Amino acid sequence: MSEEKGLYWSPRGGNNARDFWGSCHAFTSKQEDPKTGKMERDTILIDLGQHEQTRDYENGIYDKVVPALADMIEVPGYPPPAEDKRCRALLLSHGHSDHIGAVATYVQMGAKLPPIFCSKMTANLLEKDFIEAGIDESKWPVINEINAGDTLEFGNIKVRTMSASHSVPGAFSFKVSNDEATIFHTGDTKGDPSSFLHGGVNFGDYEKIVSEGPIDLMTFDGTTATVPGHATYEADVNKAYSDLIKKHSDKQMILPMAPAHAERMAAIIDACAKNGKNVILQGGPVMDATYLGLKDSGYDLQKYYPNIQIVGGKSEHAEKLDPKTTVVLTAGIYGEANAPLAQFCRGNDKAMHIEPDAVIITPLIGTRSERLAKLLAECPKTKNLITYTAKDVPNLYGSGHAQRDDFIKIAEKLQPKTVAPIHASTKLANKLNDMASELGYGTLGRQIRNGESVKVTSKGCEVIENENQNWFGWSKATMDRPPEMFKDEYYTNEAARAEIEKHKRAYYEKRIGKVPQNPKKTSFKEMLAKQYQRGR
Amino acid sequence: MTLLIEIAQKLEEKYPKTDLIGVSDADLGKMLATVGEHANHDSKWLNKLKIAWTSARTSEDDITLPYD
Repeated sequence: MSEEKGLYWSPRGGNNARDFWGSCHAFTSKQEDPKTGKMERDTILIDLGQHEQTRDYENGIYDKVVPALADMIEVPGYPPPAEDKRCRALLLSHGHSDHIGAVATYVQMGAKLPPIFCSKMTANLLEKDFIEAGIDESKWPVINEINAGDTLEFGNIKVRTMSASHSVPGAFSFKVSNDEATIFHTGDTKGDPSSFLHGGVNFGDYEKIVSEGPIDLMTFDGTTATVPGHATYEADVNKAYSDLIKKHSDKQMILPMAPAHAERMAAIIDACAKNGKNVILQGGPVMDATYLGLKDSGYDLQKYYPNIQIVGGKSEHAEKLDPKTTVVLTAGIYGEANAPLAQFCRGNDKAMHIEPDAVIITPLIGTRSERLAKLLAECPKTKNLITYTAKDVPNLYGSGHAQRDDFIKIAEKLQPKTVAPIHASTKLANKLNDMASELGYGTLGRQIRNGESVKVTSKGCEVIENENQNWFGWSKATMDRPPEMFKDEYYTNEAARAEIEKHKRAYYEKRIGKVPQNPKKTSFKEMLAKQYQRGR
Repeated sequence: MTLLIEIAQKLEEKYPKTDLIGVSDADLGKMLATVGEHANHDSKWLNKLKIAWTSARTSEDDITLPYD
């Protein structure tokens, strides 16, 4: 990285070639002490996510893949970072695992994490990660709860937190600045001022920020930013579900949803309560953590809606309810093979109970909805059921990410000199760059890949290329050892990936014996033993 | 944490057909008393216990993508 003064932004995860998992962004201030003239350097991180699609079930090797940060965080097995390069703080934009999932992994590695700053909701979800990972409470890092509107200082870096509108409450955008420049980091957001559980985006705050000085760079959520229109407001999603539940009030309803969508969960449960429908949660551990995370954060949905029962699936409580009075919230919107609904479609009647005249609502659109649609259409027990998709009722689909009109609205308020996509594959980033350019905003001309950095000053931005695009692969097999570090190429190049897989497999088979192709399902007691072992 | 998991195990053995997620704090307190544990814990601790229980009960087969 250059030694010239400026505010440097470096994505360390999330700006991947083919996807956007594992968000992590470093911000480094380099400016002179006005008294001594000495160059001072301060670094903070925003987000520490895990890559979501690396669990290698086929050979059971990698448990977690996370951004490699040994250059700024002390990780056992790696040389300690230079004193002036150590990260001073870790801020978390929101509580989804592609933004916080690596924190528990780093704690398990024995890394010395800097102090963590996040919302109460994010803190609660983070703690659930620690519990799930079996980390003893004495080893949990210090978590400082912050709120929208707070101003924090880390050396020469000033951070202002802003409410973001995502699919989980307690989401933040951040204004990061030093004496040289200002960067607005959106995190995951859309332009919804009416989020279901909390305030959503506050455009008044945006105006206040701009009045304090120009935004030199806006790193913008590129997940769906080039899709026409604006992302559906949660209030509209709520109405769409409520209308359908009312229409079929005498039938059991099966509602697959993304289990970490806390806003969506609340919007649907609210729709159920309006129509007197009990709720069965059958979405696995992430859905459970989301529900309990909301409860810990003051959103106790059962207390909000005492007229209905909210119970866990596969339980006596659920069995006692007349199915026709229930809505089953379940996971597997992508038709994931292990989700209860997919299992049911494949003939496992015990996976979940579906009435012969149930109604199914699937929220996705386009190619992403095809696998689940195919499963439902081919299953003799579901093919004749009434099924709604977002194609039939568009407001059922409500992404937590900005679309084109959200971008236009946010950019108009903030008037950034330059826009850079984050949380976007190369293809998506290129599209967003083109769109921003057409709308008259400056861009960096291409995706800034993990490991590269951008020097930002009031005079402009300069890209500093770097080949250091590393990730840590951390596995059960190496949990007592330092993690392996490997290149981002693992995700970018099919041939390279195949070669690495071949090498890994041979390596592990030599070390731990033959790796089963399909690991057997472990019993509850075995899982407990594993948890217990991990906890120690 | 070990303690949470041990308590989760006791509850799982005593109430194999119960999903703790939908159990109220008051009922969970009563269930804890039946397995010889303290019944008076705050809501946050009870939620921790529920997560320990759900994560221990989960196999990797239950993993689904959490977002859209």
